[in-house]
Amino acid sequence: MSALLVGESVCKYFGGLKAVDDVSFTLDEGEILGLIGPNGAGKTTLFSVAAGSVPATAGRVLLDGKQVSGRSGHRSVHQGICRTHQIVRPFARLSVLDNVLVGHHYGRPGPGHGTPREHAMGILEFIGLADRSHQLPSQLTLVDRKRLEVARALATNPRVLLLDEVVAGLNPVEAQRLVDLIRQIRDRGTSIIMIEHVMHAVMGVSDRVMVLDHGRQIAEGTPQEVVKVPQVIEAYLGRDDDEPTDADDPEPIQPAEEKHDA
Amino acid sequence: MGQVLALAVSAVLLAGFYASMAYGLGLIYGVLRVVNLAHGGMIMAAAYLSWVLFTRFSIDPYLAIPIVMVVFFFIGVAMYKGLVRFLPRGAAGGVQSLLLLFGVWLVIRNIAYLLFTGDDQAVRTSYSTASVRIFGNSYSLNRLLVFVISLVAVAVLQLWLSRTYTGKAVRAVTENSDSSTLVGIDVERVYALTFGVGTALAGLAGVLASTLFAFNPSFGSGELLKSFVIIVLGGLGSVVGIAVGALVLAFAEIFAIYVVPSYLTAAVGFVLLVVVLVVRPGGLFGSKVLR
Amino acid sequence: MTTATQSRRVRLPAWASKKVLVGFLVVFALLYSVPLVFPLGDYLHNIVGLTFMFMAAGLAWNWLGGYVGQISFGHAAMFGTGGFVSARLAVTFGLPFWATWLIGGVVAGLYALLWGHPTLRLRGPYFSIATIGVGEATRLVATYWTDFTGGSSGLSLPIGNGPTKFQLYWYGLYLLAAVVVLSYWLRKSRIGLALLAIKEDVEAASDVGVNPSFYQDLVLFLSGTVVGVCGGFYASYQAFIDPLDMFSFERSISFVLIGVIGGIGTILGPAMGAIVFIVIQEFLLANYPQLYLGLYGVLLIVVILFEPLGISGLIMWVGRRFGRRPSPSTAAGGLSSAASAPDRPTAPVGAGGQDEKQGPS
Repeated sequence: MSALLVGESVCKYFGGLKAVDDVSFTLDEGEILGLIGPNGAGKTTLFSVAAGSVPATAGRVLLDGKQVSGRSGHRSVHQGICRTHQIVRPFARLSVLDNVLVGHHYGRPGPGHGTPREHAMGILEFIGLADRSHQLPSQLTLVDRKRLEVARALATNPRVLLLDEVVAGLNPVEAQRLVDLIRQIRDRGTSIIMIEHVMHAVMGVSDRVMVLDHGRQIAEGTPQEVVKVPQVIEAYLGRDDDEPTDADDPEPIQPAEEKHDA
Repeated sequence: MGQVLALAVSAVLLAGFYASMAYGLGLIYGVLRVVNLAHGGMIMAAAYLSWVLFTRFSIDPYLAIPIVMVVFFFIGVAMYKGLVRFLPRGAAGGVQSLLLLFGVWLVIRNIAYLLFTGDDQAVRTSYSTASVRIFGNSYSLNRLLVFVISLVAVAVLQLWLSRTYTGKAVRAVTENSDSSTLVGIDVERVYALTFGVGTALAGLAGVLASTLFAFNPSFGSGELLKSFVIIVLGGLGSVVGIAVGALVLAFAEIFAIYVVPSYLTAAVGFVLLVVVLVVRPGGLFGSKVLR
Repeated sequence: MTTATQSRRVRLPAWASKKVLVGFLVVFALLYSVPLVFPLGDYLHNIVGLTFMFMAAGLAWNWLGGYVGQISFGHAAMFGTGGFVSARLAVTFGLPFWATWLIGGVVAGLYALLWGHPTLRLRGPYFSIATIGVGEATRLVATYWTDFTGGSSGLSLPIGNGPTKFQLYWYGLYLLAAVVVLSYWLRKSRIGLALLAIKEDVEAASDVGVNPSFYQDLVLFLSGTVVGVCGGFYASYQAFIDPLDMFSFERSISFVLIGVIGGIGTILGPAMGAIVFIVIQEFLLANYPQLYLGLYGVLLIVVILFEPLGISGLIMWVGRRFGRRPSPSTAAGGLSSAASAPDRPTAPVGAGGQDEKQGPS
């Protein structure tokens, strides 16, 4: 499998604050990469750089070998990378259908989508919002608004989808459904990076996981490998305010072993 | 060289006035997120009030300042309670507040036309022509007085904001109006108060302007624009920002006479604004002003 | 839910609806022929022609003010630029009137791009204040640039160069028709979606592939060009223009008023606003000329406080009273019209977590 998205020593500094500090990653085609780390670790900033809406201070991000521009977010959408937002940002006065249509009309052109309406409704059906296509975002539940955010991003026909905490705040049933949806999205041909705090969600569905802390990369590997890395444990348990939101972690943390991160 | 120094001092004196003028607009915007388009109209109205007090009641304009400021404080509070309060908060309110206050400005202008005609007026006291020597050059006494009064006003305002309870309440509401409610601050009262203070400052600026410039009912749009330019240049965060913005604008205008015909100095502010925005889209002091 | 009935035989562009097209043609035919059949009398006939121009200008202003959501208080800058370029071309080069209008319009549009492109980085109120500056600066320059504008004496157009006031009725109608079509296109096509998205949340729009800069510039240019053409029309109508009138703050205000009173953000609202404007203008000029600023101010205040969508809002309110929901008319492309409630402040998303549903959906 070829590397679809590659980050090379990406740095993003805001004045003295090193939000992202020398982070390198690869995302293979058909992969789901989990991105975890305590609050403030720089995950969302990394997304902004990868999505091209914010220029990197140093380093670069390559989609299919071509550099993702940092000048304007919209251009990278045309290249094939689209991100969702941690706090959803639907177009409040547009209907659900219209929200998705914006993604369709201004995303990456693709073959065989049918008419705009057909494409948009198809996505809404896939995601489970088809019967609410004419409602306003304000009339939707939180789950549905998150789904709308994902649907709109999907409508841009991305090759890489960056999901920012889509599962957070959902009850276990809703969360599981959304995770299944994410898996289906991958199966339909979109590679995914997902930021998540809900551990069992991200660990259960990711092929690989990358851990950030204070802007630096402290671990990368399979979910099983990563939970055992001492720095990861320390990053989570060593701070008061940042614990995995899931108390019954199905992956109990093993005692630290001599293991170096990637 | 002597001329440069003379112009520089003029610029500093002018900057003082500009700072007091911009502060009112900035305060209201900072706290309520409302751009008071009637600001220019208020300045004009205050100039007329100062003129009336001087010509009818022989009250020296500088002595009239407290009267005018109190009057305009209440006008501001009334405007908030009667009009601005009903605007929707947040993004949807932005366009509407613009238009509403613009409407108020039109009404003020019309009233001024009806009462005073469109002719130019000015406040000429017995000492209007007196001058003062600074660094070997002569400057109008008025300009110096305006400068000093502006400094005092801005300083008093800063003290108020940082030392008094109400001032701190205002700053709290600026930061986060929801949290402020949680700690017991009556946000609506703060809004009304801020609008009053901001308008009172516009009143101050109007009185000062009446001693410096000739004015008619159209007066004020230039001042509104300049206040805004200063806010963008200097940011809303601090009095230092406004002072810097005022200095930059004043210097640009004064020294522009080397480059640009005199009737265009009013446009200097605008050109400066566009240039700054093109070069640094976040404003000179970062994105507190531009979202 | 609702779809426009679209005949398979007549292939309309995706954004057009058959109902609207028929209505448009009917109204156009009516307006075209009525003065031929029932002469209106010189005064009324000419005023209606002028109203067509104000409708067009109001619609064009609304593209920027209502569709994009950026209020311009300085549109007189383009009105005057178009007018004077047009007049200059007629006076100095003797070009036919339609050419002068077009060229004047395009120059005005380019001017709008020149000052507008950098200024649109400012959001909301800051852009609007900047437009005041543009208007004023342009007026100053124009007043003192006597070579071009004739200074305070203005420019007189050569006699016989263009249509008579009487004929201008129909040229005004053509202008209005074109602008109405453009208005529908801008709103209902996918460009309309982009503009709405930008208006809602410019960053989120950019994050899904909309190029905010391009679409805003497009509207800027179109708006400026149309208003510039209106300036040329006005010059032909008066056969004389001067900078004080063309570039005045009052002129800029008139465009704002037409847009707001008619219905900012709606497709046809400003057309109704123009009628109100002309009526007030003609009535006031006759009786209380010194009150017009104040009256406009009061109108603005009343509209904003009670019915922010102006006349269009009133019509929709009446419609709701009679049970007609503001129906989004849908063209075949699935684009629903937001003309039903484009500017109503809805409850902010996420406010209080209003969960109407119980349990998993």
